[in-house]
Amino acid sequence: MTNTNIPTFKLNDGTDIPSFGFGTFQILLMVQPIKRLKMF
Amino acid sequence: MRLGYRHIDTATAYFNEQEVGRAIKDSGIDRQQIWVTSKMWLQDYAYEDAKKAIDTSLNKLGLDYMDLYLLHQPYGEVDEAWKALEEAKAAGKIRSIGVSNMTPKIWNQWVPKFASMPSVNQVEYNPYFQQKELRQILMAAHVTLEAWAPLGQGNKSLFEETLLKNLATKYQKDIGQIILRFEHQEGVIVFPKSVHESRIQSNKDIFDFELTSDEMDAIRNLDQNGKGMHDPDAAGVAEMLLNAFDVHAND
Ligand SMILES: NC(=O)c1ccc[n+]([C@@H]2O[C@H](COP(=O)([O-])OP(=O)(O)OC[C@H]3O[C@@H](n4cnc5c(N)ncnc54)[C@H](OP(=O)(O)O)[C@@H]3O)[C@@H](O)[C@H]2O)c1
Repeated sequence: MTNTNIPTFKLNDGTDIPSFGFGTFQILLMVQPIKRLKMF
Repeated sequence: MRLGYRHIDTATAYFNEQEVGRAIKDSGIDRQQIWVTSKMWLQDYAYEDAKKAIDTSLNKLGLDYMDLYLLHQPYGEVDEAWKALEEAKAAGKIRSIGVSNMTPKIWNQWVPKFASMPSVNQVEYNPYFQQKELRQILMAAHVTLEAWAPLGQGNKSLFEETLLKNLATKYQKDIGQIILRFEHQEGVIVFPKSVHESRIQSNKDIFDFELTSDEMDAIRNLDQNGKGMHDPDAAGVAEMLLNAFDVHAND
């Protein structure tokens, strides 16, 4: 079952931010980004 | 997105803003229901470059606003880039603005010069590296801490802690869920990364149990009171990052 009821935290500017999310950092991309991308 | 994630953390330096934008579009989910964070890389901190970098991120993401935009690294023309962020916020291009990798020393060096207070500081944080000094500073300024490496990037010894194993058994959760739940109860924003669907699913399943205050204290004691994997205060970090790659090489 997909539960999207993620609690929010209030930021100091009044915005509500979902307190949980998904990180997209890939170490391989960080180490060799240009080399990899230039291959294509 | 299919598994219910609605908050995505990306960055210019991850070279994937276009893919993130495509995933958002393909999901068919209302833009207002999704939180998108991206980050400016330090090569763009000079004022005019910073203004351009914000538009470049928006174009790559295919969005007309970002929910949160951060200065990814606290070196160079930080004050000029911050001004560009403040103006983009006023112009409606960004809803909230913040910084990243600011240690107490770096925070005290830059933030007093800013016209407005950052909303978040995204730093390395997990049970082994709880940033106690920084948290005091941020709490006093009503700034929210966002954790990078909330799972210690999968650190084996962290995942073998007896305390965490016992709590996992008690709550019928896995170690990752115990760690993320602890961080959530500490008021820290988390966005664990995984390429495995089963982990993407389980990491998010932390909102149906609560650690007791004794258990919270016990996990607080796992803090190693040291440096993390990355030390932003170390000599040469700014140069190392600046010379690592050109984020616009493929633009
Ligand atoms: N501001 C900055 O300078 C900065 C720096 C680093 C990261 N970040 C952001 O923070 C996000 C999260 O940090 P992170 O990706 O470095 O580290 P993380 O989320 O702590 O850890 C990710 C690692 O843990 C593994 N993992 C994920 N779920 C797991 C589970 N339930 N049990 C065991 N292992 C698990 C993953 O492996 P698999 O993928 O193989 O499952 C991956 O190797 C990043 O993706 C990025 O968006 C920001």
